[in-house]
Amino acid sequence: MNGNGQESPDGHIGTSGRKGRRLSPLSPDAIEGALTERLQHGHAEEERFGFAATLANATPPADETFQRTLRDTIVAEAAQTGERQRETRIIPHRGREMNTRKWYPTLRIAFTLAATAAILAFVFVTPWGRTLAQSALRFFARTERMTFPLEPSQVVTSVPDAPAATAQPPAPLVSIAEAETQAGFDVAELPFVPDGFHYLGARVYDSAVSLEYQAQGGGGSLIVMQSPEGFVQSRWDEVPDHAIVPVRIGEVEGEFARGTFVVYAGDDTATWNPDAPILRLRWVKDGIWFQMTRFGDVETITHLDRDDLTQLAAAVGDRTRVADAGAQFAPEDIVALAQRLNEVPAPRTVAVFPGDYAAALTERTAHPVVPVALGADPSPAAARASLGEALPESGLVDVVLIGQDGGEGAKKVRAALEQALYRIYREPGDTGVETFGTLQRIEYVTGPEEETLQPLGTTYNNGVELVAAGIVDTPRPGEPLPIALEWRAESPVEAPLTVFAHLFCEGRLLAQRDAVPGNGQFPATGWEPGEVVRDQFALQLPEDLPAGQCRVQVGIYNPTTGKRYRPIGVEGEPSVVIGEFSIHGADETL
Amino acid sequence: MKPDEERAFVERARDDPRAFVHLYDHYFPRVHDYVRYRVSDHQDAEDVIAEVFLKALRELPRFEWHHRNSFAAWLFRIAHNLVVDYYRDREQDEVAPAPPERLSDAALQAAVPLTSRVLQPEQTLARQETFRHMRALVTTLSPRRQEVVTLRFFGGLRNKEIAHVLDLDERTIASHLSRGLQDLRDRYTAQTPLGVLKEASV
Repeated sequence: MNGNGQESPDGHIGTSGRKGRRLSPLSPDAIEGALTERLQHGHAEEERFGFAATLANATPPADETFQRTLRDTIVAEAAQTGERQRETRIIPHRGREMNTRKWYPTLRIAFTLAATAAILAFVFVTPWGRTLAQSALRFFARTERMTFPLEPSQVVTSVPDAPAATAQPPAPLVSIAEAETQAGFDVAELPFVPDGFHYLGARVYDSAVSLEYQAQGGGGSLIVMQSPEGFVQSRWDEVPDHAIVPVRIGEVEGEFARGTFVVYAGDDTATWNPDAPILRLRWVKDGIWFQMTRFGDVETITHLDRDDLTQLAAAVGDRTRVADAGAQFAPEDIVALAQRLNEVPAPRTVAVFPGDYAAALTERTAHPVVPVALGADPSPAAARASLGEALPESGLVDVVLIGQDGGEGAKKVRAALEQALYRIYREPGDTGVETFGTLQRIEYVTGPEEETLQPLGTTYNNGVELVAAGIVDTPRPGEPLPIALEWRAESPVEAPLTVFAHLFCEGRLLAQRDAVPGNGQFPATGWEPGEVVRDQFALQLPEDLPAGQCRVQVGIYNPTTGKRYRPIGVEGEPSVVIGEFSIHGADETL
Repeated sequence: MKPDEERAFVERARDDPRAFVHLYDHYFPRVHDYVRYRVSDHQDAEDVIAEVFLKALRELPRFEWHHRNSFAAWLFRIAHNLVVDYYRDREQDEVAPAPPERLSDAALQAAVPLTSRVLQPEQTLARQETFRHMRALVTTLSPRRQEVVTLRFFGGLRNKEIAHVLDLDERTIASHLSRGLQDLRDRYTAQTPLGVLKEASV
């Protein structure tokens, strides 16, 4: 033992040793120790062993509190590091982080999270509400034991490629509306997609609905489960009493717990792992039982700690929460936007996303303002359904996006809008977008309920095919002309492309649109082979559109080189005429 | 801890980081004493010590054996680098503890905590005085010799291991050690009356 009560390193002693340090430097023992080391190592400085022993004794006593605290920290850090190591060997989409070190002799606890995934799948297919919580203030079932025995079928004897045998396939992802229909209650949603996540969809398990968000880049998820019938209360859901933290979620009480029961390879028991990166909140509000769970600890989602989870939980189902949060735009920006809208003479509907901000514009503009509920289900069908409830069947629509510049959720909202409405391009170079600080105004026109596109099957010399195209509404001077194109590529598109559309009347170019397909939302380099990509927009026709023949020509070019791609088998201009019409007068068309 | 045991713990800690705590228990006193000699401020020294072990825990998967004692050399290389970083961050040109005349009584009290339950208070005070006195002497050495002496006597490293930590030849280490120790001895003898020497050796 050395002077700090520790065992001496490798038993070596003397000038460098710890054995000498608790002795009087001039004691016979010290001298003997130094001599021993001199004999062992033969270093020159041992000639002065007496002073060397004195020096070796001149050590400060360690602060034992510090030593213990640091030891605790090391233990905790080591447990967390171990958990990360196990996780990186389990989650397939974190392949680049997979530890392939050869000297790992065993993976005995490598599939902790896989087992956890199995447990979760098991939980999801278990009839919800099998056992209700004993009381409203005891959301987690308590246990005093840190382990419990597994059923024989749950014992894992090797590293599985997939979750264990107890796992059953999760329910399919559906829209919120479909989930509400299946589950039979109104599903409470988050008013926004949390930072670091993108929304996947909803799953229904009997009377329970799970809203699922995936960490951007993978490696984690956020799941909001809700049911009017109670919490799942299997043994896997039990939590040691000491791990439960009471929390306040808005106006109601709730409980927080970190950790879960896990199964180590070869064990026939499940063991509570307090460091497992699984954070759970449970609460009850308006008769609905909620559980919000964060899985994983990848960097993009670790900001969502207990406090942030609690705040997020308080926002579930609270449709006024976003507006209350404020600070999404500067007051002068909303005033400027409202002023711009009021300057526009044509009647129009103003659609606001997120819809919670609609009230901020209602009092500032004479145009009707409607909230848009997108984001929960960003599929085109859901977008059209949502917009259909809020917007007139035809007419001008100014969509106002608030703070929607980044994130997967914002992309989905934009994509849904571009598939549901026709963005208006008023002049060459126009993008159809006006920006006011964090606010964006995008001018659209609604299209007809039914449309007919002309099959074309024109393939360009870069392999991209214009499958079908057409003018989808009646051309009227002074109004937008909706146009729809459908593109496809049988193999990945390597180079970017821009679609141009030209309106020629009597040989004069009167309107033009150049844009990435989907008005920027569906770049060709991201197309799936064989996927048909919809590209729709509207060209603004001049008020004084002269009488005569007009045509719309479409083509594509490489925006980097400016080189146009040529339709195979088409001579002359490298473009395709997708529609023609005649103008007989200022208000007469054929 | 025998070398074979140490190797076993290191290999086990690669697979199960919780085993690292055995290495911590073993090496804490040596890293502590070394860092305390290199970093004068008590709180800063504890920060550096904590960082040494946490970094070692995180970096352990990248550690490679070169010889049977190379883990100690690897650990102290981390400690050495963190001490250098500490002084670099403080924009101090010289990697050296503060000279004793700049230490107030309060600072001295803080420099050596009196919370040890191993030593009696009087023993602690005596050790504190010895430590203060010896550290003051060590600071009179050149920075390189300070490094070699503290790694040898407080880090408990052998010459070969010190050579690895400092990227120097083993004979150079022996030379620094020999001359450094001679310098310390001379100054110690010149400055330390017999009574102080006896008191220091309680």
